[in-house]
Amino acid sequence: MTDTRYMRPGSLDEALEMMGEHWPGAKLLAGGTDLIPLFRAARYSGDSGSADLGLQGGCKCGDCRIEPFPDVLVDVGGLDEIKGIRRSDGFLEVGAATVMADIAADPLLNETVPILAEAARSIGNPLVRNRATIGGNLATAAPCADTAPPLLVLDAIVQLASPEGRRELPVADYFLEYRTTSLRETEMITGLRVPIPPERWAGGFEKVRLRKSGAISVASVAVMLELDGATCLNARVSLGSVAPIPLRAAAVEKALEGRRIDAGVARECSRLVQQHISPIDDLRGSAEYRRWVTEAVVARTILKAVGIEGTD
Amino acid sequence: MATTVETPAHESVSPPTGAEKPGYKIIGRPMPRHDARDKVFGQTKYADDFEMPGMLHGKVLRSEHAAARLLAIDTSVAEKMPGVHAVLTAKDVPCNETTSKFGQTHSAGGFEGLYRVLADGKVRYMGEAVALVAAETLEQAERAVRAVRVDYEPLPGVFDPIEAMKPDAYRVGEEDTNVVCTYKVRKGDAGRALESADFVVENTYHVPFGDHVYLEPESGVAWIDEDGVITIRASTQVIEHFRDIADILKVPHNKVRVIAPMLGGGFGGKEDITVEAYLALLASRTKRPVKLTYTREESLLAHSKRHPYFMKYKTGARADGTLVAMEAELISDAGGYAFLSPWVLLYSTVCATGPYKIPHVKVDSYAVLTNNTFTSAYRGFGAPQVCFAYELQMDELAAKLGLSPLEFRRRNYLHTGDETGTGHALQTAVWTDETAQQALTALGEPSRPRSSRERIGRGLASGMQSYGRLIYMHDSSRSFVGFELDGTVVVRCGVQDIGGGQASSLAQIAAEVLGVTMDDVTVYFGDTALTPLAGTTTATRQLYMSGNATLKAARAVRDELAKKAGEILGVSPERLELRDKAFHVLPADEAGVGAAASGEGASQSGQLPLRDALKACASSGVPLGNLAQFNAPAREVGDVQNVEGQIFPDFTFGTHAAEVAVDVDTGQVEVLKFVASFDVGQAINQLSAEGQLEGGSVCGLGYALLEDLKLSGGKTITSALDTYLVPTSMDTPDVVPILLESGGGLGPFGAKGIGEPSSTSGAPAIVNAVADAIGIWITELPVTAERVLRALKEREAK
Amino acid sequence: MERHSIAISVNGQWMKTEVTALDTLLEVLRNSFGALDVKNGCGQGDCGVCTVLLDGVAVNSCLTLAAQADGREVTTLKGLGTPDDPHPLQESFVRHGAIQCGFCTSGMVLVAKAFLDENPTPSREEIREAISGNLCRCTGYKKIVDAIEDVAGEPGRVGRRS
Repeated sequence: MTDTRYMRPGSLDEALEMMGEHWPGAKLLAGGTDLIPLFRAARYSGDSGSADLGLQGGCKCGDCRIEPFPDVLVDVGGLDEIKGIRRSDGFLEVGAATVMADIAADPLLNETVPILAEAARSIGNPLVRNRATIGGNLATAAPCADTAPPLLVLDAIVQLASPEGRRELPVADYFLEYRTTSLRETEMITGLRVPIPPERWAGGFEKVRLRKSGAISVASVAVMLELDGATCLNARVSLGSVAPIPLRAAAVEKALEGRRIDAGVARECSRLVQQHISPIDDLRGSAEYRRWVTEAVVARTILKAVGIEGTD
Repeated sequence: MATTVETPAHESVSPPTGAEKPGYKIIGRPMPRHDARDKVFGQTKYADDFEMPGMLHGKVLRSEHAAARLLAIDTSVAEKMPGVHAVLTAKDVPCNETTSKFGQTHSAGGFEGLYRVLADGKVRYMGEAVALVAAETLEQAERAVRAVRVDYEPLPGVFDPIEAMKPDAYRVGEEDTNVVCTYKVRKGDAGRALESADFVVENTYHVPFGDHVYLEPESGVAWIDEDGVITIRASTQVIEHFRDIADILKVPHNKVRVIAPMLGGGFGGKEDITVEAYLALLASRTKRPVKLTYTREESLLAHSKRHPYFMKYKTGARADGTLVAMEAELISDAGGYAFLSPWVLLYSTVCATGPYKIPHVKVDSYAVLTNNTFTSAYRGFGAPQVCFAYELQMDELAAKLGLSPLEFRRRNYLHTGDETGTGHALQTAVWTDETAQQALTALGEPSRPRSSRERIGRGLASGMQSYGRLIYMHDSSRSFVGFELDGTVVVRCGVQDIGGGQASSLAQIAAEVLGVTMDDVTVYFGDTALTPLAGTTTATRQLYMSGNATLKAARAVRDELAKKAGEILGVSPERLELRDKAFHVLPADEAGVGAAASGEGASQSGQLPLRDALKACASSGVPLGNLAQFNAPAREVGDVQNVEGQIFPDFTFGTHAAEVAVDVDTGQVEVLKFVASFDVGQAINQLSAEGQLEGGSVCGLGYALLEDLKLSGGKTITSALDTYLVPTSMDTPDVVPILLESGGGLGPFGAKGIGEPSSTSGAPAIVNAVADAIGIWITELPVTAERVLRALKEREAK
Repeated sequence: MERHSIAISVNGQWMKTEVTALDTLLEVLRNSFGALDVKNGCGQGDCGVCTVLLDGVAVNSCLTLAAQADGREVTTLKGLGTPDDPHPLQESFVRHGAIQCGFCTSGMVLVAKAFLDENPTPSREEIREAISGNLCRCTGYKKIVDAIEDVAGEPGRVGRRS
């Protein structure tokens, strides 16, 4: 049915070589939890128009895009070089091929950046989390990628490699437009460098979804605040699933900085989130609903970070 | 005014006799099921696990339009593709249209339905089967299906049943109207009674399409055996479709055999013909075995759905809290073909007033064709839809009256001897009151909110659901029970096992009566050639029907053996108890027989091993087995539209109670506690009965909060299981099952059916709990977070 | 068509076949290796009935390419225990009535096994989370949680087969 070739490089360099040699027909494979359903979709679509019938499956984030079969699948899921979590100077280094289950359970992550672990734990279901990778989550660049909001408020750095060399860029510069990233041709994500937040920082993460497992987010919120008591010195607020890309809500951040946070302040600042988001109507919810919950959840996530419960 | 309808004579299987003492050995115990072991070791061969040598693979081409004229189908390219053995369209089907009795043998006017194998002339729903392909490999079949060229002329179609009822609406079928059928119930004068009622509530309710999501998609293998019998081994709830399939192929009925292996779930979705006809046609044409298995997307797209209903209710009560009248108008969406819509509508009509005493009743119901996916049987079969409506009416009325939901209901519950909404005087146990009290008590102390953004609420709902088929069907079931010479037992019964322990229950019943263990019993089931036909596994009828047939057969076998054993032991058979593989002589008083009547001395004792009795019977021409038939109550269809009197053999009554936490920021509803309290008459297998309560409750939870099969312009847009959401293990608490046993059911040992009743009242209990939490009744299912938040925002705005 | 030779250890037995790059592990297990105890429910990771253990880790075999499993060990339900030598989880599922139609059973038992290997003394909530990628339409999950909870408690008791 297809002439796709499967290749399993033994090293990162070998993987890059394969990417360079077979570009643009080369596609990276790690966990495969987003990619394989798309191949299933392609198998069931065809020239008789049955693609329209929903016979295909796939479409994890709501839009039915059919992935064309690549010439070469480069399986980097087993490369130890890009797996694992470790601490190095003031940073956490997370390999791109680290699976969500490991990120969710990792003691170091849970201690230093729990919002990232929480986000990983909210993705898919336990079986999917045993395969899905953080690199894949970013490479797919869906608006609903749940690790993106925490990475954005942690000011994480994305590490990239290509046959031409290595580079890094802030995750804020990684997402450009809807499903479009800064990845250059033949380039792949090798890992993330996450600065370990100093003591005075506290965070929160919440994902609104239709059921408690196996559910794409309707809206997700991540917050990191530098606090002096209840006074906010620095604020970072990020949103997922409510715009073409995961993004930071600068207006909310600015409004929080310097304020002493209580329920009223949280509510007041969270209203400013509306100017940043452009949610859509889809199967999971209406744009109006998304606006309501984003605002409410931003407010209560701020309060959770400060250690105050409730917005009454 | 309804005339008195004579209660139809029905056969009652006699209650347990002295020799079957209430200390049951096996009945009522938590017995591990027979089939559980095979399943847990991965040995069970489901439909898709089966292969035949030389097997081809089938695939169905389905319509891309919900409404269109079929101008031309060109199969020429597909036919020539590699590996293709057959490409069939309507013209290749010997009898493309038949009138199906849906597994019944009795012709009951108004309850047969058109079954069209392949689309012909017009397509009536998106996903309707247009052509069939059989090829050497699945990939070849998939490619060939894509190469079939179909010319469609799209037609406007109609997608709303209320629109479809209008005189100038697009005609879905070939008749002058889209209305498939209508029923009415008239008792007293509801209109007048409502006018003078002290309190009245009125509301409109809407429930959506739903999918069964059995984890095993539709599947089967067919072949022609050495005697030329077309044999179909398929995941089906109804092996008796063999008659329809024979008619479709224009072969005699005894030339089609249907075998049902263990199913991976049915829930009503495998009650109609699914793959069987396609398989029979392809096997017949190619002369090779053929396998056909649906993908999940295909299953969601093309098989039967649960009926959406629009329901207008108006209920009135007196100041003393007693109900005085109820009016209901029900409109169901029958989809592109009627299938079981008339039956489902009748169930809804009969159950429309719930388990309550209401002197004045007016119900009008309509099933209407549209170009949506066809709707048919789904666990509950029309009862859950109306239960949602009437239970919200009850809570609303209770609130107006200033009574608690429980107290208001208690003033109105039906009891034995009372008449239902259609005037059926209930003769069996009606324990709703008891179930409601227990359910609410089991909720315990109210939970405290876990944050200031949470509101806690509690609710209950009582349901009424029949077990056994419409008595118009003259339902019957047969079972054979027999001993081998070594004392092991064989049961042969056409029952289809869809996962509810249908076959295992029969083993339990036979073992109880015949004094053996469950391991001593082998059950052969689900084969039209080799097992006596037991009817469909639907309508919560199998325990009642084949259970009773098996009980009859087992007792007949025991009685024959007891006669012989009595001869050998020199006592009358009434003195004998068969247990632990031997006949034991009971002391005269224990046997309930006076010493004088038994004609023997009171001190006689002794026993005879079962094997000896069997040997003696075998040598003297006494049969070791018995084929018994059990008949349900029967009634002729008079004026089918005027629903009055008894329509079902009996009902199962029960109550769900729920406690929920509502997040007022997001509208999300979490069920914290969930109780299911039901009178099951007598639990045959305690684990199975609990399992039905637990599973049925989560079915209700899915209906309440999650499941919405969305169609738009006839197109299924929730096309896979990541968009059609069903409850995961994290979406439900531990259900607390409370089994009450009145002994007052018509099934074996006084059992009532439980498979569907347990799924009827769960949803309204949750929705009533949400109303308790936020003060708003949401009248549309599912009660999604968005609907809750929208309701809260709208109230805020006022 | 491009084919790859792969070898997979299925319940301890090495099996070879040729696959295309896009053949899933589920397809190969069922169609090439006769491992019919692995079920197909949805094909895209939403239902969990196709769960197998890949080097001891519970995964959806429909979301794993066969080629990705080349050289690795797969455990299916039959590899966990047999009627003569049952795994405690299998006995517990039967004892608790945790099996109705049985189609989810293979996935449930395998994911439970892998979970208890990592977390031998879980709470009921943790068990519910562990099986939240495995749908069941019959039981309402409660007896499945009961069955898993019953086997938990003693690390040695469950970890005897890895």
